[in-house]
Amino acid sequence: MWIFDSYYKGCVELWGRERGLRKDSAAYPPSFYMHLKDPPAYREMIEALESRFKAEECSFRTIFGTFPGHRIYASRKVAEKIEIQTRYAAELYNVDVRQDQRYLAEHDLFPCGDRDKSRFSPDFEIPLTSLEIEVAGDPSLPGEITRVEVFNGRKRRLEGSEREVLSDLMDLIKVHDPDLILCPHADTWVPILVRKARRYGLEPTFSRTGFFKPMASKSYWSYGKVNHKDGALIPEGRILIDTAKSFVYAESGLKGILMASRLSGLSPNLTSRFTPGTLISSYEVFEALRRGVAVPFRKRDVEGLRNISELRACDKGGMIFQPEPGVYERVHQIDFTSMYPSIIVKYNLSPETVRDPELKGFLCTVLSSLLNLRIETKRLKKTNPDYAGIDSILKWMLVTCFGYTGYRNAKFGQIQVHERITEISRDLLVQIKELAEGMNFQVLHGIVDCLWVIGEPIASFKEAVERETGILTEVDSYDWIAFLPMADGSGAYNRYFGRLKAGKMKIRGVMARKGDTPEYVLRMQKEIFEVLAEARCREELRWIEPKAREVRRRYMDELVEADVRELAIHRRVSRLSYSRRCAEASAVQAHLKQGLPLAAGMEIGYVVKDAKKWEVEPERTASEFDLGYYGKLLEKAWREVAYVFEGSDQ
Amino acid sequence: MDFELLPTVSLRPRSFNALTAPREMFIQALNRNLNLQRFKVLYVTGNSSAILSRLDRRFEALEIRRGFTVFQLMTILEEAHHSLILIEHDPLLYEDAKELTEYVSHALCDAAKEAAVLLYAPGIDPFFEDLVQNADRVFYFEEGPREIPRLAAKAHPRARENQRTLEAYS
Repeated sequence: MWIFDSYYKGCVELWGRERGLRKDSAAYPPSFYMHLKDPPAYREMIEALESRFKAEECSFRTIFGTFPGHRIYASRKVAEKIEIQTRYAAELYNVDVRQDQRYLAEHDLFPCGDRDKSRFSPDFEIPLTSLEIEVAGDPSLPGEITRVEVFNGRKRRLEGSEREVLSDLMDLIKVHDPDLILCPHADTWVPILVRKARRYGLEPTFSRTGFFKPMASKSYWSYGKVNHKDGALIPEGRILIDTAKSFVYAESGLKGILMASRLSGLSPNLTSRFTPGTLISSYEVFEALRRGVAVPFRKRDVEGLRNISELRACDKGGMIFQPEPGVYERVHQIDFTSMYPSIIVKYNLSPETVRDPELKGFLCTVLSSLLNLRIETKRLKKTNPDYAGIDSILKWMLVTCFGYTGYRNAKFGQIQVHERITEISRDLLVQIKELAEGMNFQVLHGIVDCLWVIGEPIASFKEAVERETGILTEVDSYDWIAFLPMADGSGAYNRYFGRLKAGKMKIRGVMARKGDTPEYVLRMQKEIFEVLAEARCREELRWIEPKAREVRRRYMDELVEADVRELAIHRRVSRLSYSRRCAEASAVQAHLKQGLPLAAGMEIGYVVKDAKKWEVEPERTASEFDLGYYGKLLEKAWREVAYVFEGSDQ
Repeated sequence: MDFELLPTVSLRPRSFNALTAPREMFIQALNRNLNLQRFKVLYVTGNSSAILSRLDRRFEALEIRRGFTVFQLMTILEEAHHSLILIEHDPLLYEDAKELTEYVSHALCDAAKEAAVLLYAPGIDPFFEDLVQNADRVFYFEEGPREIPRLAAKAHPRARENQRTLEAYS
């Protein structure tokens, strides 16, 4: 059966396609493992567990070895009571694992694929029927629903009173009975549509059973930023994807969501709503369960005792060689492919191998399959863009797997693994820098997993790097590249742009790459980059300078008549109360004043009306803007690109 | 033998002590007591430390363990075999485990059966208050009145060096 939805509701329920739609239910009582260092001290508790629940003595495998203990057939609530009873001395496993994921793992099943095929194959059929729905209106301020568009091969518009529209929509879903619904802002609209449908006495047919699982909204910290995750109503027996809000969908499309599902053992409803970090950790958990390795409930394994000097020496992060700002010609950029995951795999890094390097590590073993798949999809997407989505989600999962090794609650993470990865990466970057210099290449710049060099033949250098390090690389060759200066004149590590041999521009760290740059400013910088792309060398850069200046002049002149919506600045708000005056504080106030729903981590759009007074207006109601402020932004964007006309020639 | 951290703060062996004091004061107290290294000292931090990077470089014998979760902290306390244990309080540990402060407090008491234990925080928070309920002694030092801030000196642009070869730092 090609499973496309799974959940636990007293029993495991699986929805799939196998000569038509099929639903299976399987009894699967929850259970967990318990290990006690001193079982006789808890004899009474064990006897009570044996009399009240099914509890059997057993031994079970963890990444740190096999432990004697009990398998207790009871829920998480019982596990938490055991913790209190034992003053947290009991070590528990498989307590917070999703039941449907565990069922699939123990029965050698996986979602979105046929059982007899490999989960790690990038080629798979999608036997799903689908429907696209678009609700007219502003999801941030939903009013009466009077128009919905439905696409199912052909476009259909449902219009009329709210009751009529909802009735037609629910009927249409029932008749078409799709396995998959794609809908922009589904997680905002569907709870409203369901609530309204029930109020009108209509059956909310989004769910095949009529039931939904609510997912709470939350604000959370990630990589030093506050993010906001909207709540959702997840239907049963059907995939519902919020095409506007799903990060995985935006980055990797439907195929990426389904691939993440195959790998993590989670339903597509969840993989479309989870972050890559949650996906990689779910993948590790699914792999552990498939291999019969118990998943710890609490993060207890602690780093070893270290001397302060040792800690000072190891805790440094990635290596950077600072560039000399300027414009350089005939430059090559050599990148390691998935460097950190490759290091984990090649150097057998895993929490248990920190203490015993002779062991075959769990983490490196499970990441190895993922890494091989990424290498394959990266190769395939060069000739077939259909693989780009899968490649993208794999890239994201592999990127986050490194960060996850240092995450405090990671089930299979350990800070010493995290530090060892960066330590090896530093050594490797120094090693290839020396290799480059030994082969008479000039090293211009280096950041963590890539190096910029001048010299020939690059193919020989690439071959030498791969031979010496055992890690695959990619080379990008530039006709010219500009490394921008920082405010103090020294080279910026992550702000550069250049023309690739193929004629395209590669741009990093400038305003055109930043999420908070107003569309109007972004358009100007992009247009100038298009002009720069015409120049194949420094000499030609001089020729096209007047053309670039003309673009700047045009945008400056037309700014006064610019569409105010193109001047909106989009930022994520980290909090709702600010102690000092700033544009974000004013924007938050303006949004709250207009009754727009706001929570920490949400993105807001605002237009600066008077920069001196920090006066701003929400994007949706903005009517005027501060000409001087936006003129300065245009000038700033211009200065970044104009560096190629004035930057020191190298 | 008592460990004299500050003139008014001496830590008796086998006792659980708590200290809230401005960071500068705690850092100076440690840096003025390099002789602490005569003993077996364990310094425990949480998810980040505002102290470690500012300790005197001559602190070489200090042993460190980091507890990123409350369970790791309890494991560290259980496994410690030092004569002095300094713990830098990390409220983040308890944010999703409020109910565990009671157990950590007991773990601190248990560790104090063999060692002098000092739980340090720059200020009081609800978790710290719960943790110190079983402490033998609690020392509170408040920050004195702040000096009037001086106008910040204008930052001097870093001298631009003619970097020609790229050397890795070590």
